[in-house]
Amino acid sequence: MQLSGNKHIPASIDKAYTLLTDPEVLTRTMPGLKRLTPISEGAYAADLEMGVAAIKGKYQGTMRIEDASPPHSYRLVLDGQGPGGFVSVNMSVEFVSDGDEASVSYQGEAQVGGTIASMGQRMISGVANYLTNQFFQNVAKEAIQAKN
Amino acid sequence: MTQVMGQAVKRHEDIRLIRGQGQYTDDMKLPGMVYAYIVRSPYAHARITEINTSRAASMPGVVAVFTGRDVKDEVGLIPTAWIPPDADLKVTPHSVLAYDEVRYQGDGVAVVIAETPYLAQDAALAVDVKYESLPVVTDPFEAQKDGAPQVHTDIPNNIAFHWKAGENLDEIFAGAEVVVKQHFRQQRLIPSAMEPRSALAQYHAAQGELTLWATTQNPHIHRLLMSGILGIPEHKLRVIAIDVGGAFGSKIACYPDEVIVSWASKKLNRPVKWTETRQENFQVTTHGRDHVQEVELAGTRDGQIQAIRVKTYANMGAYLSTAAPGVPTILFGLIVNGAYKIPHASSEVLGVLTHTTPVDAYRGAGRPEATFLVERMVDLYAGAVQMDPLKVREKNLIRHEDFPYTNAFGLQYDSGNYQETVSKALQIFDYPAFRREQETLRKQGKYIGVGFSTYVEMCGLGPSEVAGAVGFQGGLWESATVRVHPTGKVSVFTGASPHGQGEETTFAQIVAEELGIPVDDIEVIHGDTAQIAMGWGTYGSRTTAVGGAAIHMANEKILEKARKIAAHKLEVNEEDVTYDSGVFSVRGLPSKGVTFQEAALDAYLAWNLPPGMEPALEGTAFYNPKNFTYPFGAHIAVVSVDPETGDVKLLRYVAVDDVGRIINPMIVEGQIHGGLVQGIGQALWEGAEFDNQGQLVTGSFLDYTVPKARFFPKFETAHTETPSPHNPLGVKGVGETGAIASTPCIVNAVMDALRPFDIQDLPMPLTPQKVWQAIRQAQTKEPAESK
Repeated sequence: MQLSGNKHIPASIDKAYTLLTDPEVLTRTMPGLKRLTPISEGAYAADLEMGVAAIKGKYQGTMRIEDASPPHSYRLVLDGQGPGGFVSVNMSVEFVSDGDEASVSYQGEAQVGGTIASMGQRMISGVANYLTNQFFQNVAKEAIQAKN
Repeated sequence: MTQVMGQAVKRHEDIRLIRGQGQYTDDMKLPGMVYAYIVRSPYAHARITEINTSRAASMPGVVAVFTGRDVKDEVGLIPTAWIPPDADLKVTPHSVLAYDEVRYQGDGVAVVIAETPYLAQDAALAVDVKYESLPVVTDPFEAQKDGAPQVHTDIPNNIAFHWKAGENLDEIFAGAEVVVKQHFRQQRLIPSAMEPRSALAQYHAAQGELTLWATTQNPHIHRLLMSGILGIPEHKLRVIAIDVGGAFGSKIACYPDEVIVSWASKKLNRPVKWTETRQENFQVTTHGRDHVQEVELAGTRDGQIQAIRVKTYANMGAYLSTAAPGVPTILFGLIVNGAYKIPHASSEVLGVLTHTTPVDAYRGAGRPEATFLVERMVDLYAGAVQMDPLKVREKNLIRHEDFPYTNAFGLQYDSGNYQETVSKALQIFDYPAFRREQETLRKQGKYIGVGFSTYVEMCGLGPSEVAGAVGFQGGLWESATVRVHPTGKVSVFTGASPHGQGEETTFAQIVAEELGIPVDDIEVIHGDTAQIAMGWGTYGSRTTAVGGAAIHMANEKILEKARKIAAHKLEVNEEDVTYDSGVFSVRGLPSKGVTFQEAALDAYLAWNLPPGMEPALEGTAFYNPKNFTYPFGAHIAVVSVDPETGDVKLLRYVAVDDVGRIINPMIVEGQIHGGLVQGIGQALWEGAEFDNQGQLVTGSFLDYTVPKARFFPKFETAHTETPSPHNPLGVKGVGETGAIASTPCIVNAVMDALRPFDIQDLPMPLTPQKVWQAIRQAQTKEPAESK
């Protein structure tokens, strides 16, 4: 499944980059992300709990930030296994200034396997969109809070 | 004598099945029984780097958790039981639970056994398995190329077997006036029986005996194979298949799941039951079809077919399932000439392994794949020589006077009158009127089409000598015991194992007719290796042709003995005794008689039997057929295609089938309907899809379309009856004909409707999207060309 999109965060690219790579912020903003435990430079063990029908359940995996080039770009590599199967995400994230906001583009691929793939095929891209939107809304809120 | 054979006797089994009083494996409950749930790989290809069962094992209600390493040294591998000779077949090592590498999404890696099925399923989620994903290949054509990901390391290019039959046709094709070439994709199908698979094992430690209730089409084959896998001798192993809710070939195979519960029951000394979820049924129960076919047909300009050449890449899945190698070879490759007198033919088949669910028999098993390609080729050839497809068929069909006909591969078609089925179909369907209507509608921008399919299939499997010669690791004869009780009531024991086909009724009709007793006095018992000496099960439309013939032979033995008893009682010579409507009487003296029931009682009392005669009245027979049987027919489909949406509507379906002598016309009709629905389903709706990572993306009924009743018009069926000359009952077989004939018939009809758009072929299923895209492409192409 291809993942791509563009979102605006009301902050400078430096601030947006910091927010999107800060494990504490991510734990607050990423839907279902319960815990990020550092395991090495730029790598975390991740615990997720999903409440959306097709992918409901607890997932465990790793999240890595690779090719980091602050505040312009990085690559996000996610691997998770759970009751519904597995999810692997590999996507590049880019930050470009757009007035006083940061324009964040992401592009990559998600591989989904197991029950999720077989049963949830029709729901996956909808669910992915829903979660992505929720995530960026949360990050935007954090950005506004940080400003105030 | 009252006629019972040929009557639409209502199905005896329906009395319990319709009331919900059937006895399926999952209905069984035994004291102390525990439940298994199998942990399956979400990856299509991966190395197992770690399995941690401790979290699952400590959960409430969990009795045990086992992994592949716990089981592997205690049971054998899952065998392949059809090894076609001269095909360089390489057996795929198939462990009951994978312990190093998983090879398709659904490969089992661990089993959790708990006090309830729900606790087992919950605990299965807590089995921590770490996988390292490996490259995947799902397409058979891609998989046999150099450098493709390997499914089994020691099977190069994933070629599990390479089978050939027929002659070199290079010269014939080089010199032919017309050569038609086409590439077909026989898509993969998911059998989707109403009852999922289930197995319940109970080990009796004191006797060292194991009883296995299982959803199987062939309990004796299961006993034989399981005995080898489990190391429990056959006489200590009992396999029972009581009611089985449909199978269509998917319950032939010996599966790991049945072995796991059997082994676990012995290990835990408790009954262990496993029933698959619908999702597992999609994922791990064998699939069907899945061929890439390259076909060439040579003929003259005036419509005489001279040769057919077929190269097939058959997707076998990740492991060679029990009967799988026989399906795309013997049951397919030897009959690609179909119902036509094609003097030269050749078949070449590569059995290719991929990271997908294993493939095995599915209704028709090989013969639908063969019939499809030849029936489509005949239409394409008709187009190439600008002849009517029906005329080409009539010109090339094997003629009545040619029987018995030996085809280019040496199969001897037993009997037939193919022209008669065509004539009968054309009595129902006014072909010239249809062509006129089609022309009129085309002018209005409406598109209807007609498709023909004239088919033959080989069934009634089969002569055991041939079974041996073609590498089937078993016999194909059948057994019957007809046991007359002292009151004249009868129990019939058959080695066939019907699971929806209605033989509890059909077989009772054979006995009622031949013994001259009421059909209600007869009970047919099947599916229990402890009650039935031996048998080879139900598949390949063999049950009535082979199992029924065995019953006929057993009946003859009973009548012979009962006649002697009656003659003795009537104090006349045996030759002077006639038998009619259940009464033995003296020729020319009808008032003096002995009923069948009286003879039975005498046989059991044994107070006054003819000198030297043994007591009791029972006949056992083993029937080994001389040949296969060859049903045939002519089908016609009429469809409309909506050019705006690509939607195909089936308007009419005419099926004229000759399945040999008909014992129960209602059951025959039901079998034909069922077959048609599945065959048409393949043409229009069904298709299993894997993504490039080997994930089955059609893993539920939301994404895999099985036909619904409302998709169909009322089928118009008729019959001719050409008895099989070598079968004592004259019967042939009907279980698969509908699924064999209908798929190409529908595709031919859709292509006929699309003729104005110059569309030659489309891959199945012909979904609205595919048809709409093809029409759109054709429409956008036209103006470009006219410029």
